[in-house]
Amino acid sequence: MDQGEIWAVGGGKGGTGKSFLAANLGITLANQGKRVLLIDADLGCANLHTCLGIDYPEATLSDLLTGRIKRIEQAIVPTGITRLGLISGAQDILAMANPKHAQKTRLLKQIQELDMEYIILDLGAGTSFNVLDFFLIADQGILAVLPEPTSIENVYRFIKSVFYRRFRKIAREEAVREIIAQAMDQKNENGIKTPYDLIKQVARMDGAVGELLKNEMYSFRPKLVVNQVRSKDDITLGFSMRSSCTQYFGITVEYIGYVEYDDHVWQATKRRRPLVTEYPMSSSARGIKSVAARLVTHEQLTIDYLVDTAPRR
Amino acid sequence: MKPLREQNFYELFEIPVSATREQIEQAYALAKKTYGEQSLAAYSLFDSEERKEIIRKTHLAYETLSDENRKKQYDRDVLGLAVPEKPPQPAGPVKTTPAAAASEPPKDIAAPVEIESLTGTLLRQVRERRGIPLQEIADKTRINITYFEFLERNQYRSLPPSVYLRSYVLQYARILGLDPVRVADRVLFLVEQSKGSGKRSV
Ligand SMILES: Nc1ncnc2c1ncn2[C@@H]1O[C@H](COP(=O)(O)OP(=O)(O)OP(=O)(O)O)[C@@H](O)[C@H]1O
Ligand SMILES: [Mg+2]
Repeated sequence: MDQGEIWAVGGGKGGTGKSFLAANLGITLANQGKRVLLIDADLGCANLHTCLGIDYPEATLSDLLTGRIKRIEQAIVPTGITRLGLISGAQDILAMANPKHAQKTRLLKQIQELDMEYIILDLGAGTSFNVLDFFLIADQGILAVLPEPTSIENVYRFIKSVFYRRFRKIAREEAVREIIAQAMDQKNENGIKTPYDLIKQVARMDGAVGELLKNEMYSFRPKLVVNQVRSKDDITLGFSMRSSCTQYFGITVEYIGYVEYDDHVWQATKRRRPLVTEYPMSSSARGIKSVAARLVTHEQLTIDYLVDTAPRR
Repeated sequence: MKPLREQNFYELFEIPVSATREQIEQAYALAKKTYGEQSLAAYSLFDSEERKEIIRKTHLAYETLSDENRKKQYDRDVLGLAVPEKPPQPAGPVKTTPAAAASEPPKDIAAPVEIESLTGTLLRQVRERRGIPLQEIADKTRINITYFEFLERNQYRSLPPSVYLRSYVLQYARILGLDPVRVADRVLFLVEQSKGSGKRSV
């Protein structure tokens, strides 16, 4: 059996629609006949179960991480949707100490051994190591951004943090690690502003590591979803962010679609019902479906898309 | 990926050398929007001087690429591309559909291709003879068409790092019906070799 593909939804800022996207992408895949597991990896602030309209379950991810339950299967609860399972997160921050890297790795191994085709991780806000590590573990890292300055800035900070975390893992040597840590500080004295500068600096210290980091730049391809769009400019923003990331970070961000701002979302939320189940024909549900389709086929939007003025799906 | 000052106009616009007029227009419009005064996407990464710098290069790129003669000259002088007099004609009969041609075992070309003399140009000739559009390979492999264009134009220094390149060339060669491993080895060798010589990219 093939291992399931892991998707992680992150993006830095709170309230950008990460849980909303994770839940509805999961349902969309399950409705298409895929076996899907949703995992609420928002440790301390779990609410994915609410997006699915179910009560906070008995067994959760923290039970698994603390070893209270042994087998991952025991933590999966049904969602009322065929082929879609859920592992809920911890709601109490105190109960959920920071899992060690080894614990996360073991969890990952167990996840991959499950008979699932897709595993979707809903990440918390912020750029804690937990969030970054889960994002890095995923086959497809999805960034949810809102078309507003603070959210965009947060996504960039998120990208940078993920990136440097990855770099640090590759670089074993203390001196190189030190440079990477310094680079995180925007006003560092080495004049390192962008990953380009960093890689150049590292390559001077150790050519082989510089080469490794460069390869890392090529393989790191986060996916971007613009949520709550209200205008054509909001749709264009995804392309602009893609270009900016190429110019600044030297990485390829794939723009995989957008979801319109839609009153149906809060109408569904109020009734504790998932959007795509409750309003499958709404504009936002259609947006989710095309995002899901592009993730499955590994496609992205091309700028020809903008030629048609009318939103097209 | 390269920093701005090392990017050529195609890299700046993220379009293939074969881009249509329309694609060039679109890319230009997007760049103006992305790095302009009202920019939401770029202001936090680039200060206004840096954005002006990008815009300046964008104007120049547009002026050059939208003028057929200047584009030709640019392709020749900066990219080092030989500009064909006529649009390349597929040599030999290409009656089979591209897909069928791709799966057919190589008859005509395979034997005569001396691996020691294999270059990007020769790969292009093989491909054209097989009647397989480059776009089709890019679509099938989901690999950026620009890389294949660089490869076929012997622009080895513009190719991605070898770990990726190897897998790209393997897939490319497989579609052409050539021995993937030998072709990949050869291309990587050419890349290594090109690192010694100093052709400047802009
Ligand atoms: N396309 C949309 N149209 C209208 N409302 C939306 C849309 N997407 C999300 N929302 C609303 O925005 C709010 C935040 O969404 P959500 O809880 O999914 O964000 P989050 O990123 O998971 O937040 P947190 O970081 O706190 O976990 C919710 O009330 C949700 O219903
Ligand atoms: Mg959430």
